[in-house]
Order: sequence, then C-alpha cells, then structure tokens
Amino acid sequence: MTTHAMWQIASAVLLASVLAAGLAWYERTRPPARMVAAVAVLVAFAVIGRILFAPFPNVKPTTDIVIIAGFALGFAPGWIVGSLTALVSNFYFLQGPWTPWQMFAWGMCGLLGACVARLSRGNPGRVTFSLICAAAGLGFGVVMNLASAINLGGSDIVTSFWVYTVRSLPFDVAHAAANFVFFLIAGPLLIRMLQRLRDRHDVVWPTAAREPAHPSTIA
Amino acid sequence: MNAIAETAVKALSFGYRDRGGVMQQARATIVVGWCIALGLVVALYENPIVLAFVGFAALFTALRCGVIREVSFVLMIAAPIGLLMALINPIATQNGITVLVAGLQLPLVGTFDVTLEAVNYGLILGFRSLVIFAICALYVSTVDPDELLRSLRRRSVRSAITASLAVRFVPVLARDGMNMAIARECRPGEPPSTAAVVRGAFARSLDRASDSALALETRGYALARPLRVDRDRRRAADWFVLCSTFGLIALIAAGLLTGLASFEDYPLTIIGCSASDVAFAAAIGIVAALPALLVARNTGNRR
Amino acid sequence: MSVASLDLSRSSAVLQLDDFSFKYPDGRGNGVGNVSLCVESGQFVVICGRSGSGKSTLLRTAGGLVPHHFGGVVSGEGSVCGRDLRVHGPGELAAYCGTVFQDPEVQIVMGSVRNEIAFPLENLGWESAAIRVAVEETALALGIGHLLERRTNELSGGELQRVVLAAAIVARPPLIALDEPTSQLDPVAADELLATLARLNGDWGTTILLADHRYERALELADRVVMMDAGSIAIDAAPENFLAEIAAAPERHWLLPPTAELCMRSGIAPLPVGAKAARKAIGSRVCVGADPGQQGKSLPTEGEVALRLRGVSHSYPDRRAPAVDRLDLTIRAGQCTVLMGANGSGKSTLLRIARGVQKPDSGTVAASGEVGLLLQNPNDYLIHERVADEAPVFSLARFGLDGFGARDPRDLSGGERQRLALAIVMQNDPATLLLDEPTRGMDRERREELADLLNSLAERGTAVVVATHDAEFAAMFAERAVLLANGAVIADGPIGEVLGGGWHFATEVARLLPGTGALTPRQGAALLGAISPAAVDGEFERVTG
Repeated sequence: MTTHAMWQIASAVLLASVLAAGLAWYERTRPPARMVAAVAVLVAFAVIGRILFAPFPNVKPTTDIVIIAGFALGFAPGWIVGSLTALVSNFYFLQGPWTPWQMFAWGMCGLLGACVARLSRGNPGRVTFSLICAAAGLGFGVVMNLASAINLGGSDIVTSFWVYTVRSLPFDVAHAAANFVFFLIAGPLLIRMLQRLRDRHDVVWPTAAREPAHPSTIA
Repeated sequence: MNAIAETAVKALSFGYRDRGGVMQQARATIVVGWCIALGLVVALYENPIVLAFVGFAALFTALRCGVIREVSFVLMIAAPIGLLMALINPIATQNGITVLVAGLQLPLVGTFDVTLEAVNYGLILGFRSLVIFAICALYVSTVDPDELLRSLRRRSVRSAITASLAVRFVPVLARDGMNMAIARECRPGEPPSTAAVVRGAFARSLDRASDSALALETRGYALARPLRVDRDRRRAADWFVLCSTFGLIALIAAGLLTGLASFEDYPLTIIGCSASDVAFAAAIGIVAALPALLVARNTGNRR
Repeated sequence: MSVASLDLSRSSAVLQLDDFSFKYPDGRGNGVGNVSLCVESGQFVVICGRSGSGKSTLLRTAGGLVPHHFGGVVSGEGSVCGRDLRVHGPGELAAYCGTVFQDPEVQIVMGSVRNEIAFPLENLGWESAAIRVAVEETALALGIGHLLERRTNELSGGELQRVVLAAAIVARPPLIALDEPTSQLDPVAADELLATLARLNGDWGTTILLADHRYERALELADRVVMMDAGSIAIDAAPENFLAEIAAAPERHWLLPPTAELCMRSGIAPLPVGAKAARKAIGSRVCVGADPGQQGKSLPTEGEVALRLRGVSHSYPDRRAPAVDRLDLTIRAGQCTVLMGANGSGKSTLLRIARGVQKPDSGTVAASGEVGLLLQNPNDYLIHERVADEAPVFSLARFGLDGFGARDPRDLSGGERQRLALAIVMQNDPATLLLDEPTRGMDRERREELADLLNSLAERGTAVVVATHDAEFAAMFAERAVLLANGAVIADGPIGEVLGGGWHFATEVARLLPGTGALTPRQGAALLGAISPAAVDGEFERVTG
C-alpha cells in the first residue's frame, strides 16, 4: 500500500469519526422543533447562496451564513448548519470525496461563530467580525487544499498541498474578501433578525408543564 | 437578476433522476457502498489499465441507468480540472530520471526540470480524477437524497430530519426568492436594492421556519426515534449491487496480497501490464459492471 | 364534579375545554378567554369568525401546540381524548389529533410522498409492516394513491394539501383540526378537500374541527357551527340555528353564505343550509321576466383605451403549448374587468406581459399610462423592516394604514399585508391596475372591502383587471368578464351574460337561478320578487327575527 493510500484512508477514518461525533452531539442536545426548522431554513438559505453565486468561484455568502448561524444559535446548531450545508448543497453540485471535508470545514465555521459569540459576550465589533469571517475563508481554503492534495494529488502529499495552495491562492483570497464584504454589508442585520427569531420563541411557561402537582399556578 | 435566477433553476434541475435503472432500484445505502468500493479501487490502484476498466464500468452503468447525459455533463466540467492536474505534476515534482526539458523558469516556482515520469504520472492523476468525477456523478444522479437521509434516520434521527427539511426548503425558498424578484420589478419607481430584497427573503424564510416547526410538532417530532431497519424491502437490484460491492472488495484484497496490477511512479514509470494484470483489471471492470449488465431498466412504476 | 362523572363525560368528548383561557407570551397573536367547549366524537364542527378572533388559537389547542409550543399564560382546564393538556404536549397528542394548516408548502418535511405520509407513524414508533399498510390505505382512501411515488416538490398546491391531510390522519387520530386548509388553493382543489373531509367524517366517524374562510361550503356538512368573536365563543349552534342567529344581527350579515342571503332577501324562512336546500326552498318562485338589473346591459365600446394587447403570444421553454396564444384584448379606462379560466389558461402570464415584467414572444402591448400589477402573494412585496419604508405616507393613508408606519410588515395580518401591497403598487396612481388572484384566503367581509376599493378606483378612471377563480368576488365588483382557455379568449362580455349560465364559471346564486343573469344575492332577490324594496336593500331582522 502506498503512503498516499494510507493518507487517504487515515483521513477518511478521522473525518468520519469527527462528523459522526458532530451528529451525535447535535442529537444529544435534543433540539426542539423550532430549532430544527430554523437550522433547516438556514441550511437552505446557505445552499441557495452557494447556488446563486455558483458562476463566481468562491465568492459566495455561504460561509458567512454558517458563521452567523453559529453566532446566533450556538455551538451544536452552528456545527450542524455548517456540515449540513455542505451535504445538502452537494446534492445540487456534486457529492464526492470532498464532501466530508467541506462538512468538516463549514462545521468548523459554525463553531467559530459560536466561539465569537461566547468570547465577545455576543457583541463583537462589525469590522472585527468581518475580519474573522475573512480569516475563516482562508482557513476553509487550507482545509480544502489539504483535501485536494490527499484525494486527487500524487504520492507526495506535502508538495501537492503547497501546489494546491499556490494554485488556489487567488480563489481563497477572493473567498476571504467576499466573506469580509458580505458580512460588512449584511452580517449585523442577519444576526439581529435571527436573534429576534430566538427571542420570539423563548418560552415563558408560568404553568407547570410536566407536573400537574402544582395546579395552583394554572388557576 | 434574471440571469442569476436562470442559473439557479439550472442548478436545481441537476441531481437525482429516477430513470428506473439498477442503481435507482437498489437502496440508497447499498448504492453508496458500491460507489465507495469503486472509489476505493481508484484510491488504491494507480495502474491506468485498472482505472480505464473502472471508468468504463462507471460509464456503462450510467448508460444502463439512463443518466449518461448527467455524467458526461459533469465530465465536461471536470475535464479542465483533470488537464490542470496533468500540467501541474511536472512542475510540482522533480522526481523521475528521464529529463525531457531542463532548467525551465517560472515565477513563484523557480527553476525546475520536466521529467518523463512526472508527465506520465500527471496524466495518470488527471485521468484518475476524471474517473472519480464519473463515479461521483453516477452517485449524485442515481441516489435519491431523500432515501439516503432516511437511512441516516436509523442512526441520527434529528440530524436526518433537519437535513430532509433543508432539502425540502431549498426549492421552496428559491421559488419565494424568484417571486420576490418579480415583485421587485412590479414596484413603481426606483426598484429597491437587491440587499433589501435579500433581507426580505431572509425574514420570510424565518417566518416559514416558524410555520414549519408547528407542522413538525403536530407530526409527533417530539417522539422521534431512530428508524428500524426494514429488511423485507430488499429486492433483486439490492442483491446484485451488494454482490458486486463484495466482489470488488474481494478483488481489491486479492490484488493487494498478490501485487497484481502494480504501478511505480518514480524513479521510472512501471505499469504492470502482463496478461494476469490485465485479467485482474478486467475482472474489476466486469464485477463493477455486472449489476447494470444483469438488471434491466424498469421504465414502469418504481418500487 | 365527581371523578366518575368526569370520566364519563370524557369518554365521548374528543375535545373538552372548561373555562379555558390562553394568552401568548409576548402579546403577539390573539389568545382566547374563558372558552368552554365540548366536542363529541364524530361531530363535524365548523369554526368561523373574523381573523384575529381566536380561531387559530382554539385549533392549536386541539393539537397541544397551545400552550406547549408557544408558551404563555393558561388558565382553566382542557383535554384532548381524555389527555390533560397541561401534561401532554404535541408529541403525545399527535396520535389523537391531526392538524392541517394553511400553507401546504411548509407542512411537508420529506422529499417523497410515501416518506411524508409515513413520517408521523415512524415518529410514533409503529412497526414497518404496519406503516406500509397504513400509508397505502390512507393514500387510497384520500384518492392520492397515484401520488405515492411522486416527489413532493413537483406537486401542485391542491395535491400537496391532500398529502398533508394524509399525513395528519395516517395514525387514525379521532380528531382532525384544520386551520384555513383551503386558503392557498383554487376553488376546485378546495372543494375536493372539503369533499374528502366529508368522507372522513361520514365513513370513518373522524371528528372534524374546521376553520375556513370558505366556511359556507362546509356549512351543509357541519353538525355544529362555532362562531368566535374577540377570543370567546359568540355562537355555538346547529347550522340552521346559526344562520337564523346571524341573520338577526345585521353586523354579522357578512357571514351569510350567498344562498342564505338570497333567501333572506327574498323573505324565505327558515334559511336553508346549502345549495340543495336553497333550491328546494326557492322552488318555483322565480318571477319570469323580472330584470335582475344586469340583463341586457352592454359594455361601452368607446371611451379611452387604457391597455391594448394585439396578437400577443408567449410560450415557456418547458411547456409545449403556448401559455398565451395570439391574444387580443382591449381594456378601457374606468372599467372593471374580471379574467377567469382554469389553472394554466394563461391568466398570470397575460397579466405579467401586460405589466411588462414578462416579454411576449410576439405581439404588442400598448398602455396609455402606468400599469400596476399586484402579484398573487402580497408577501412577495414585503422587504423592508418598517411599513413606512415600503410605501409613501399618502399611499398608506389611502389604504387605511396610516397608524402602521412603525410596525414590521411581517407582523401585519393577511388583509393588512394585502392592503400594504396595494399601497406599494398604487403609489404612483397607475392608469391600469392588474391584480392576480387577490382573494385567496380572504373572508367574505374582506372581499367586499376589496371590491368596494376597486370600484372606487374605477370611478376615478382607473382600469381594473382582476384574474381570479372566485366567481362570487367577480360578481361583487366587475362589469365585464373575459374567459380564457389555452391562452386564448373564449368569451368576453358583460359579466351577467358570461357568468350567468350557472355552470362552472358561475356564482352560487347563478347556479340556483341559471340563465337569468342574476349573480349576486341582491340581483337574485330582485328576481325572486322580494316582498319589498326595503328587504332587498338590507333590513332583514323583520324577516327572520
């Protein structure tokens, strides 16, 4: 077996376990119906963003939407928005060995959004957040170049990786710049709308839901 | 705006088509397994004879499943990528002993030699990527995403429901967006900015999410539990594809143990092409093509 | 109440509410107050009332969505099939109450019809063999067996809504709650859905709670009518008594079905429920030769031309037959025209071509001034965060939206959204106003409001063209009717002539009095020889009260 094949198999196993762990994590949070619907709509929105901007390589609002989803909805939903965006959009583009990598890369973008929310206590500056989105674009590029090197490249993974990095540099820079611009224009607005959705659904439950032992609260 | 909408419609029309072929008849998970086995062959064997047989098997299956147009469409798009890979390799690697051109200079890369082995291997990489694309195209056009997500519900039921709902939302939201684009043109005076329309579309999507959550609740989502495997529904196509998958895995293992269809990239290109190597490659191709060969297309009602 | 009697009362009660009140947590939406209602097994209950009267809240209660999904302040007691609403949420109640909402698009989760119908059973943990049988049987019972292998994103609205209904009843719940299920459907699909409900109720004894703006069609199926007003129950009676009660209260006359209104205006009592009973009640009272006020009226052939289409053709790439085929049409200023025809007859395409958002393949469109087009769904127009940003102040004021400037357009009710969309389209006073299916999901009162609005626009010289399936609405405002089939005009003339035939493109009154040219209850009553002009003009208390 060649070292190349070893790389492929090792990365496949690693990715599969990370993705499975991510799904199990989301599963364990037992998302309520409104979270499921919100995640699904965000995924669909990100997918449509990817489809609409398909003619422009790497200039697409998808990464921003995933980061914003993570920011507004939290860690596990952010991860799942990212990884499902990759999975679902590839039903329209092309599923392939790159799908798990994209699921991972976009899932990480979702986590990044949630991290930003946690670290900044929900209030990062507009420009700072835009820069973070740009950086996420570059990070996404690094992951995908690694994927290309492992899946399609030759026997020398490291060289292939650098070749792919050089080759895709203009595209990755475009991705980062587009992320920056998209977030600067629409980011805070989308966050506000998403947070409003979340606020609107915060349940105030004065009556005892599962414990009819306290009928006094109902009367 | 209209050009973008047209592109979107085109993209939305690509994907799964039920044309009644063996791959569409078989269960989604079984077909995925078969595609992975075929992909494994491509990952483990760089011998171009094996790659050629796998490529033929994929194209033959696509033909018999009525998706040859979809697959060739993908190959047409992928051709430049394959070509690029064939061109990059001689630049990227200095391995190989037969120097064709010495001392070429390029910005960023610097001085380098072009070797025959690197050219050969570049061609093989390019060809291999095309075979991978053919397999992926076959997969996308013959596996029903809905069925695939359904099988995910055996493991991770809430993620699978989320994904199904997202797949369902894509055309709905796209249609909303297109209607809003038309409404924008119907407004008198200066049309509002695209950003405003996108904002409106996003707000509307979130409203749709609230409505959809209600529907999920009334369908008993709160009780959702992993699906049970339904073994009775296995049919002939499933068994053929399953046998082909196991056959491929057995052949891969046998090939690795006996060192058949070997390939050396550097320092000298050595392609195993003895009679037994070719027979081995042909066996892989035939085993892969077997389901498509044996199961006729079912053009009537499916399932 | 003793424990024993409580159990007894619940054995046949499918939905039981005792002094039940509910307020939404954030003040949004309309709650209900002190509702007491007991729905017996096998009843067909029609719920009516203005929008915002608490109909939806009542129906959401049946599925446990209120209070569990929304959260909020609850008091009183409620149970569904003996399950206490305080304890059991929508998940547990899914086996007892199926729910159907307005828009089928957002109620579908899965990509194929078979998976969609199986979904609730899978959630409830049924065996796969049992699921297969239940899905097959439900689909066949609802007449959608042929759709089982189809993809959900290829289906029409009517087909989708029947799939949604199938998913709601596949677990054979004793109760189905339907909240405006036909509001997004055309009348034919809506009637099919109601017929299906009648079968469910009759053949399988399913209890049905139905709120619908076309409730008049459901009236003859109903055992009981509950009218909601401002969050509480105003009337709870059998259909005949219900009609008598609203006939006695002039401010509720808008709720009268056209056939009942015709009989009321003609002095027939008691008011008949449904067309069949009305036909019997009217009997041979038709005064031959009476003029309903429409007959013989011809359309003006001169006057300023607002819009002229000549030889217009258009085809879509994915359909072989042209959507519009060498069509000629002249619209005059100040004229109210209705455009009718089956789905796919080219109505929407024609309007889009006339507005200029769709370029025709051939032919010319000449307009004397601006042309405004109101698309089917007012939501397509709502893009800003504040109502004030959507349209200028004077236009908002004209459509009665002056106080709404600071609100979010998405928080408006359906009728308010429609008016806002009109305010957007009408802000530069177009010489021609085109409306595509504006009355979907509107109750009679709002349709009358819109008809008045269109007539007042026409009086100021605007040419109004409405494409609709809704013959009752057409009769309310239009003077001219144009029938389209396969993209061509097959009939064009005064509305009394075109819709007076009493067949498919006809109002209920026209069906009762075919060939007379009478379309509205008022015209029909004149024909039936109303006892006095006063009765024709609206004093009815005397007649029935």
